[in-house]
Amino acid sequence: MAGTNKGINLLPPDLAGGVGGGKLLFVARSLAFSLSAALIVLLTFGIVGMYLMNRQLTLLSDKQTELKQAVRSLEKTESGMVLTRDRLAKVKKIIANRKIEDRFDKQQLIVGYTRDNIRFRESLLQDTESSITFESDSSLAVSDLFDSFFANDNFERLILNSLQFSPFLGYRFELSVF
Amino acid sequence: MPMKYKPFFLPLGVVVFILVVGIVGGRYLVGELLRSRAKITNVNSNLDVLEGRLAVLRGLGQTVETFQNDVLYAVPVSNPSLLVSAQIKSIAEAHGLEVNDLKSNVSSLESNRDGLSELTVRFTLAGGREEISQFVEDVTNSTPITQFRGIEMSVINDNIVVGVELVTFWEPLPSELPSIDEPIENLTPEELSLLQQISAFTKPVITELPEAQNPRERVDPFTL
Repeated sequence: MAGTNKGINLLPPDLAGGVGGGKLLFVARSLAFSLSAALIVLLTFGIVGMYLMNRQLTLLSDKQTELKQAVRSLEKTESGMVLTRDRLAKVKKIIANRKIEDRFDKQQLIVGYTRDNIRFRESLLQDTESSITFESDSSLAVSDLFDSFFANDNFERLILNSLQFSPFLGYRFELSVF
Repeated sequence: MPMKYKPFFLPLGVVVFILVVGIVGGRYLVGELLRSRAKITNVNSNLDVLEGRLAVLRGLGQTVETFQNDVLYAVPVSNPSLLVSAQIKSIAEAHGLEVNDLKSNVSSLESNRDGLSELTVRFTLAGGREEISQFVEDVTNSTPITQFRGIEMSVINDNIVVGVELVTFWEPLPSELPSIDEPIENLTPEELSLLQQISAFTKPVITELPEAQNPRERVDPFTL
């Protein structure tokens, strides 16, 4: 009898491998179940997240389109601003490069220091040159004028280029003013 | 394969399937999420730029027209020969000075390194020293903006005669606006102060030149 029952196993298939095999199968099923659950949860979160992000993106894009339209409607103002800024940068450079105007002012300052007995004769203002010539009958007046230059710091450089004397014309002197 | 392993097929198959789907799908999803996040960040920064641009433009409003006019008086869009000549004559007249030999010519066919075209104006003046000094100051503070290149003064018969050379500038309007996605900044205090300075300059006596008329066919005066 014992020989005829040898191939029959009435245990459920999952316990067919014995107690150890049953545990292993249980672990495998639990793992499959847990992973499925985790995947479903993650997929759900992912899809919901994507939906929310896409929705946010659509809203932001709509706002962007709206703003672009508003900016375009102010294109005239913008072109005016671009023009203003462009021209201002150039005007600034032009004004910064006004050397002759500054030297002219300095020459006028010198003329302002002169008294009646010193006469302005000529002046030349060019890119690299700035000279002014005076005549006077009085050496004292010339000396006083030079003294007044020492007392002020309006000039970067003040050079006495020439000083001539003739009994008929008096003193004639040329200054370089920078 | 022994029958005892058969019950493992389904759970292990599910595990493998989930792992494959998890890795492939997960990578895709994470990638998509990161891309969307990056897009949102990008759009957000773009919105900041646009809002900033809009605030600046709305803030400027109508004042920009005044600014525009002032800078266009300073550096016109076309050769300002007539404007400058008229301005010089007007200022000289205001100071009782006599203008002679007024000539202007375009310095070069090519614009300078700042993109400006230059017009050289030469003339002589005769009058008193104070008046000439005032004249130079007034021309310096007038538009179209000028730069003196040479002043030569000499006393002839108790009268001062001055040879003047100055340049003035013009430039066509800019042809491009910056990209709408680029930020723009409001005019700086320095720019506003320069604008204030320019707006106080004497404007040209003639601001608009009459349009040239196209030649018209002469109507036959003898047709009745």
